[in-house]
Amino acid sequence: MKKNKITIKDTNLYYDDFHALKDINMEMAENEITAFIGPSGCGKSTLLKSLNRMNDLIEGCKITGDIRLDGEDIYGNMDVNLLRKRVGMVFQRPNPFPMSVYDNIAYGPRTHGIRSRVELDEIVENSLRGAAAWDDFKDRLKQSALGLSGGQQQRLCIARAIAVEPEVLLMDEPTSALDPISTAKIEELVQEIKDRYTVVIVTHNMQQAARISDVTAFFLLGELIEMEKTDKIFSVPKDKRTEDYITGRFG
Amino acid sequence: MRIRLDEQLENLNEELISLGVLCEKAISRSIEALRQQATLNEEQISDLNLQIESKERSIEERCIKLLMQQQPVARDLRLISSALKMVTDMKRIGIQAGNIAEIVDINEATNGFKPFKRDLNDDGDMGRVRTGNEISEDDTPSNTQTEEIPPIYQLPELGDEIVRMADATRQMVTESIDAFVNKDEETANKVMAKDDEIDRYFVEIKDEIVERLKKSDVHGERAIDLLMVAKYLERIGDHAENIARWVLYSIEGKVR
Repeated sequence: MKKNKITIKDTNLYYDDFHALKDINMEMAENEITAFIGPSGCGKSTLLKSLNRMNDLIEGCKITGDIRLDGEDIYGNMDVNLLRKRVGMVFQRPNPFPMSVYDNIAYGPRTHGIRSRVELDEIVENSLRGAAAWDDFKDRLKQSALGLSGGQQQRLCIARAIAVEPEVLLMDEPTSALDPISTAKIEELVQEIKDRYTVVIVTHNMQQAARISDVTAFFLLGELIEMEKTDKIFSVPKDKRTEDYITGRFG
Repeated sequence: MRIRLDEQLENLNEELISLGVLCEKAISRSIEALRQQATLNEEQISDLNLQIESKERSIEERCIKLLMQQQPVARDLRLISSALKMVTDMKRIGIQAGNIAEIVDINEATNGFKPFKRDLNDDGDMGRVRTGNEISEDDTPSNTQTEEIPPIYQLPELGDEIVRMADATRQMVTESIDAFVNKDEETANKVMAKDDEIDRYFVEIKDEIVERLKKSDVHGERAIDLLMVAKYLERIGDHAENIARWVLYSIEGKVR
């Protein structure tokens, strides 16, 4: 039995009057990949963002309930910067900083106070290796990250996210802007890194959820409808709404 | 939503039903041949086999295309993967039914559509077997008595038993296909239970054949033919059970 990394209890989220997440209760096990699926506007990205308090910045956003990381309330006394170090995020569109490959990856560790060149070199190399990108990037560390292809930029962003040694990696549709080859590389990468991280991935691509995740959660209109082992949910879903959505007969 | 997929699945369903109908036809024919209510020639048997095989291949191609184009999940995935498994069982039912008809038919052919004759020499020992055609007018009845060896279905008791077994097997096949057509769990469960009955028939018939062979109470070639027919029927029962199992999987998603 794997240890629970993230526990969400009776969580509700409102954007002003709009009730975006309704009574969410779920647990995510350590070193597992959990996929969030559901139609646009179902709350999956909202929930993902509340796992490292990205919603704090949105005006009118109010959250109630309990979200815990290793049993610690993330909306309690936890330092948000520290939370975001522990819970990293990769976005839909690759968003490298307008600086070199090296500086992109060293950015996080530097903000956490690491100054030594030797130490930073090591972090950059290890992060790129961890993102299966070292061979592609080792000769272009000084190049601007903006000159890379979309797939390379996204792998750089993953390397950047793991440079601060997070425990959880949140991914919000990380391949929706990429071609099939780059997508396959990212998917393989996600599976390779799951031994070291707990991964939560939002995806619109059902086959992607089926391919890479251990557990899949289906959301609809702000509610968690069904959460099951991925092979179960895609072969024998329990709820008719899940069945209708994943077979494309929704609505 | 997904009108095209639903249409494709409906077509797949119809093709499976028509393959099922061909299998039922094959088994009905073999039973008729067994009862000598009809005679089949090789062409008829192979023609039906060809139809079954070509239908099987076309269903397989359809399933693979659907998997590739639609990347189905949930009930669609279960239906298509069940279909892929079921067609193999259906084809084998057809082929084994054809095999039964062939056995019966070969008997007919060598028999010249007359009952087997067996030579009995003066001592009453069993001599060589001759077919009806071999018995010529030159044979002198004085030193050779002939004894009729009845066709399978006329063998006392065993004949009735094999016909009962064949009828039960046919019913199983029909019901397994009905269960698929109507998405009917109850009928599928009934089919699965019925396989035990078929297995019992086989054991009983085999034991009886062994007993009779010990007592030289049945002609050897007939006995082997009968045993083979019983074995084919038993295998057909297994395939019908498999079909029922896949029907249940496609409905409820549990592998049994």
